[in-house]
Amino acid sequence: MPETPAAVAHFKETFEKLRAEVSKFIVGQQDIIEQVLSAVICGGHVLLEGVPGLGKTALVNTLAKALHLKFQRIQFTPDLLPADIVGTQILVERGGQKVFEFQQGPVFCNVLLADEINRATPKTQSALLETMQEKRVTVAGISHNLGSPFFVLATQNPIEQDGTYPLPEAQLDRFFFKLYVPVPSHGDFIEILNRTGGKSSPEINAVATGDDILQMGQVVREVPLEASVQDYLVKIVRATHPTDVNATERVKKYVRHGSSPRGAQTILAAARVRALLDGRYHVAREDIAKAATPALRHRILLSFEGEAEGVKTDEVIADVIEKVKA
Amino acid sequence: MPAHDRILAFLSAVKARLDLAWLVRAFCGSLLVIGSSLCMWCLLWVLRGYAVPASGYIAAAVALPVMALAAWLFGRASQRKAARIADEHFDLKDAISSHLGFSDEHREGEFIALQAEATAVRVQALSPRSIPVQWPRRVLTIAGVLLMACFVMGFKKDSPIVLERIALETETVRKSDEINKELEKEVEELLKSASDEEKELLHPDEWRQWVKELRETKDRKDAMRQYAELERKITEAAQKLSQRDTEQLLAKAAQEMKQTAELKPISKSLEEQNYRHAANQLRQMKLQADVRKPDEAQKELARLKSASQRMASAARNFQQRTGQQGNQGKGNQSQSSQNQNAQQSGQNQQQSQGQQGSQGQQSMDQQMTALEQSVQNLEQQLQQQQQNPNQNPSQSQAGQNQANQALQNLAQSMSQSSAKRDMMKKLQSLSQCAGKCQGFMCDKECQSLSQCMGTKPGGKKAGAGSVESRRAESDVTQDNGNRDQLTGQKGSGPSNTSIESADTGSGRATRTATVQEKAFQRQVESFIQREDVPAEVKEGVKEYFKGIQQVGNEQAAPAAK
Repeated sequence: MPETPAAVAHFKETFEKLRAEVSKFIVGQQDIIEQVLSAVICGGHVLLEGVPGLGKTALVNTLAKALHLKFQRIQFTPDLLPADIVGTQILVERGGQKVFEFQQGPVFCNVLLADEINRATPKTQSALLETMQEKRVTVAGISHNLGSPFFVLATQNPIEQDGTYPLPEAQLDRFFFKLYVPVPSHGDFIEILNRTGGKSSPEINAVATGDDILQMGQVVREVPLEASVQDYLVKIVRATHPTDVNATERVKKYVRHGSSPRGAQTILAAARVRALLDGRYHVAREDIAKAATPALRHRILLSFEGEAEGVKTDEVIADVIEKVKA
Repeated sequence: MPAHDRILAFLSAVKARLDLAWLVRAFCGSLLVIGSSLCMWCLLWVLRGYAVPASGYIAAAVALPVMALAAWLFGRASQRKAARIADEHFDLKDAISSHLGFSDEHREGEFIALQAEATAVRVQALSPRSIPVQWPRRVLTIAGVLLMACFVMGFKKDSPIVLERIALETETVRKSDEINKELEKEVEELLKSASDEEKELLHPDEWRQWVKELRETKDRKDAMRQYAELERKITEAAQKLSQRDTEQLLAKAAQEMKQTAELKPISKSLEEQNYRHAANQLRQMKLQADVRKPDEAQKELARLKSASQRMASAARNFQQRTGQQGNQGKGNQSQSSQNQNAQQSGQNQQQSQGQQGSQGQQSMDQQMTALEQSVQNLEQQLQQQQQNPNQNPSQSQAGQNQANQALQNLAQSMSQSSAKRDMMKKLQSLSQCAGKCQGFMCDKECQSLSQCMGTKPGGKKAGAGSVESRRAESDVTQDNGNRDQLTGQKGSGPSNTSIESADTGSGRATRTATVQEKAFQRQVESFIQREDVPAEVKEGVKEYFKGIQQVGNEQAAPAAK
């Protein structure tokens, strides 16, 4: 491991290279790019949600190219089977004998794009559970490790609800971030047209390797966290539970279940990345507050009343951050 | 300089700046609180009509720095708080707070060192003086207005009503003090002048306690109440000594003895109600002659016999009029049964006292009849001894002793009556004194107690004439500042009405009786002038109506008194 200042410098340099490379193709969306990169560095998976055509798939494709990692894409459909994802045993003839041989599925890669993940059946979705958490696949009683780094970038379309299967809470909890891809601004639209309307398209080069990502992840874990900031983080996560003493009225009214401890781990990791990107060697409360929304929005389960009134989890999180004493 | 020290130095500077800012806020806040409190305090005085005491301003002046200092001491920012404020003010993003936390936890490592160095570099370029020290203008304005109002209110004088009230209170204190001393002196003189017999009737310690309980007060109502209470006690004590029936008995005895020439001195003493002198005169009738010489003894006994008969006659007459039976034994029996009944029925003290008084009267008339009885016995024994000189004189001697003893008892009772009478006069005088004290307390014109009591030279003030026919406005309707309405305690005040018991008779109107008496007189005169009536019958009728006439005169005499 290099010396800490050098590691930090390497972290920032690599991160900025990746950001710049991805930004060659993706116009605007700087927050989304940063958060996706943060999740990748922290070894987490990202669920991208947005209407079609906003560049979700293009973002993942560009990121895979920039990372110089093995990239696979699965277009989820209702007839997709688990074996289509993780692989299957096939009967082959070897040395005059017929034996079963494991045929790897598309999940055996470094970057997996699970496009329109909510179109697959729950059975197929659950096939990703072990893959995302344990980063290995078990078929016919035999476990097969996936490559490192491994992260899933899933997309889902919030508009077309027919024929979709909402992701179960357990699987949602596996995602590091849930990011809403916004509609580009007026200037971004013009820039998109300029970049894609010409004869040539931007060329994406690999600027980082898997080892770089792993090294960056190790540096992130060393960023220190002061006790009072940690206390603030725990208060925020606990305040998302309606039974907690710090729970706000909105939480008590509209939330059925709050975030799991995995949410706190996610916030901490993302906050550390933000601190390093900001040139600091410590985590600040501001980092916690910034990382809380994408880390908790899919981990908070609204009550029937909240669903009926159309309450957004982002509003609940903003309320918690505002009310919890720093 | 290490990064940690540089950060701490910066933090100390920030803390000093924050302390200064807090001192300013604490002072302004204290000023507002003190100003509000002082203003309310001033308003409290002014609305009641009083001038605002200067002590309040002094207290406020002392309290202001004390409160500001206390608030500053208790509200000073801690190092952690200063770090948080510095982080927020200089947008350090928890750099100083995190550094302090790491230092407190003794965390080490490259990242910790980098964090300290980066923080030290950042704070080096910062100036704690950029932390604002602002005087809260709104608070200062409000406090200034309040203090100005307090200052203005400080010039306000006492209102006329309050001045009068204060003067009244001062006068009440002065008067109550004067009255207390006067009453104490009067009681001491009373106790000092009381004879041993009188002291037995009184309880000096109790009287001194009553006087000691009197206190100086500026509340006129309270003062009046305590003097009225004392007057009630004195009146009650005087009522206990009342012996109206005994005096009536002795008056009748005086009338009886008046008919005998040699008993006229005693009669005169009794009529003048000089019972002690009468008792001494009775004692002088003590039998001292030798019973072995019956002649001399009978001569000596004659005067006592006459007196005892007269007194016994008066006693029997008195008993008949008061509805009692002449029979002594029967009277005693009935009295004892009355006492028993009274004790059993648990009647109140007043009734009990009345019965005790009645017992005293009976004792007096019983003593009179007992004296007559013993004198008669002695006379018989002397006659027997005269007829039979050889008879043992011891019986006569015993009879003589018995008669002397009865005489002594009667004289003793008379002395006690005299003592009671004297004491009652003194108590009545004391009661009047207490009443005058109450008058002095109420009277605005009366400047001294001696003037009000009229026992010492007083008069009006110099320059005030004696002509009362002035056209000056009557001060009856002027406000004297006394807002209290004097109300007595129900059942505890002295009653102005006294119950006069009739001497004799049923209390019915006498007009009809007078007419009837005249009719009877005409009938008697016509009866006496008739020739067919025997002389003995005429004489008997004469005697009968003389007796009635005598009774009528006796009834008229006490009424005239």
